[in-house]
Amino acid sequence: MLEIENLDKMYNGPDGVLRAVDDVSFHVKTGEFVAMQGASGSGKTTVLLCAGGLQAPDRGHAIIDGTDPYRMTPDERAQFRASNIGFVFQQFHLIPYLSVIDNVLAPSGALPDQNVNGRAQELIERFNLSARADHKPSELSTGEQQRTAMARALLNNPMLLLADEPTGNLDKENAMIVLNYLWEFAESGGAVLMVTHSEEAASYAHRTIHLKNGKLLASE
Amino acid sequence: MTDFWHLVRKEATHRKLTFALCLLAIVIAASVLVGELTVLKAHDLQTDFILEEKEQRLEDEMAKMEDDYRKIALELGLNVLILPEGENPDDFYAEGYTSKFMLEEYIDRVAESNLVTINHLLPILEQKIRWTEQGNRTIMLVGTRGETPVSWKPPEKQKPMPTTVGVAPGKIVLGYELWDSLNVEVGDTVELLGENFEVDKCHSRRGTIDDITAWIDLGQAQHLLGMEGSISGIRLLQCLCEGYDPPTLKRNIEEILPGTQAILLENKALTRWEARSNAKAVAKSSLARELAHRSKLRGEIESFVALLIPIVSIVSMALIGVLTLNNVRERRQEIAILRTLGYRSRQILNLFLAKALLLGIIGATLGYLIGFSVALAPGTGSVAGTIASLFDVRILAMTLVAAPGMSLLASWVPALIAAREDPADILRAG
Repeated sequence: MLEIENLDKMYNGPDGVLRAVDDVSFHVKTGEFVAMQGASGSGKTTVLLCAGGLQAPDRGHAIIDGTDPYRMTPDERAQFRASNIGFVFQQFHLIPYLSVIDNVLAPSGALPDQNVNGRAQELIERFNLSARADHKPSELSTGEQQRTAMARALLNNPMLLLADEPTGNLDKENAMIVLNYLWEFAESGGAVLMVTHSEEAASYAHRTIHLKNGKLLASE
Repeated sequence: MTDFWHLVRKEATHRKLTFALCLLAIVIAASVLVGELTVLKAHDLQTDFILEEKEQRLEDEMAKMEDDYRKIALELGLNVLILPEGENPDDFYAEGYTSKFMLEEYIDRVAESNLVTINHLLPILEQKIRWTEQGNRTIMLVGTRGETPVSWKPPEKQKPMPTTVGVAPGKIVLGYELWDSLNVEVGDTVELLGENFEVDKCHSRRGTIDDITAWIDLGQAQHLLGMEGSISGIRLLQCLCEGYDPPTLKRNIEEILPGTQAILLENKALTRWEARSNAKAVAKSSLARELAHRSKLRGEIESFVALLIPIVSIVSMALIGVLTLNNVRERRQEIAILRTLGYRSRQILNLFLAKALLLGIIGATLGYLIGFSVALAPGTGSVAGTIASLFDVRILAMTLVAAPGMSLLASWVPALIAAREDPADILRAG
């Protein structure tokens, strides 16, 4: 599903060029839940952004279901992202002025021809947010916010879910709920790549890969 | 499905202060535009109103004076003296006779014309002569044929009592000094330039040149003076020229009598006509001054508008630009997540431009209402049907185009910045 091949990514920083990712290669298969761990600055988020078609690597490839999104035009890549990839972030990144249902429906703006209202309602119920459907993010608990973000990520039926510290701001109970959803998604035929510092969160994954100073250390 | 305008609307109501400040900027610019243009229109309407009112007053006054003049002209008529062209009227007045002459047939030509209603048409042949039979004394010899009937006048309208009665051939009428010094009376015979005349009438003393004047038949006078077919001039008395003003009458007479000059003699009718003409000229001049004053005032308002509208527009656009840029900075995370969810950069651009358009349309509508209301307040109350007459669909259309255009223009650069935000940079920065 996701093939990361010889990925390099460098940034220009105040101290010169920083090699954030150095020749990283790994695969995430369909139905697989992979955790990616490493210290801060080890390049986890950079790998995730490259994998999500948001940041072009300097070298190497990030192939999703046989397609290299960086060979597409920016508009095609945006469409590809909207159709195939779901994102979940530590900060939730919900749109503050939209209700829960509107936040869940937000990705449909990128694919305007689809009628996903029924799917949104289904996700709202599945993530136990029915009573909160008309609430703004500021009126939700952190767990509810992350569940809303999960529902949003799943609206367009993606094949790949990329999660950046999805449990970082959650209590244990809510973290467990989110991790279970991620696991279920993988089990139902999707693929999950999750960045986490938490060993407990990583334990939900089928396997864990470790990064250090931009290099892939090991895969468990 | 997420409605594009739903996103725009929700964001606008979420960040109320930003939206309100942007809206205020547009409303101010639009209301200034509408207010100033409407004030200009009100000024134009008021100018028209004032001028129309003055013109109407002038017309009324002129009609009244015209009526007065018409009445007095009908009552008294104008007096015209027709002399040969080139004859100096001063000499005629000083000497009592002319040195130049005109054709006698001119009398009939005037009489048969329908230029004016002439009550008295008197041909003149006057010459100072030496009465050789009476010690070579100087007398004024006047040849007359009395009143000439005006041919186009129906008989019942002919003047029943002519001013001057004609003298029959072979008869003579003498002034006081002549008959008194000759010691003659009516019925006596006197010899004049070799011909005998029976005294037909002796005038009493008048204290004028008439006292040394002898009147004989025009034809005989022409014969005696060797001036057959010629006359000195024509007097038209009490010309009732209802349809003509005096200069037109003079011009028309000179046209039908070539080689003559028509002199309008001062009388009450002419004075009244001149007073009317002067009053009309003064009133027209006053109207022209009023128009010039109003035009100057309009020019000053226009200059003010030409300065104020660009300043207000630029300040408003700058404010909208700064507020929108600030809005872009506030929404960086939102932009990043929308891009992550698959929104294209053009869609992000459109989100901001759509908001600018919405602001522009609401601002234009409110600005029009406020500007129009403010423009109604001062000084336009005297214009009849003010609201209907001041409403100008072109100003409304201009506002509905200009305000959104201004808003879009001011938001363009911030919207481009938003569209070019790199979501990866924002997400990595957390």
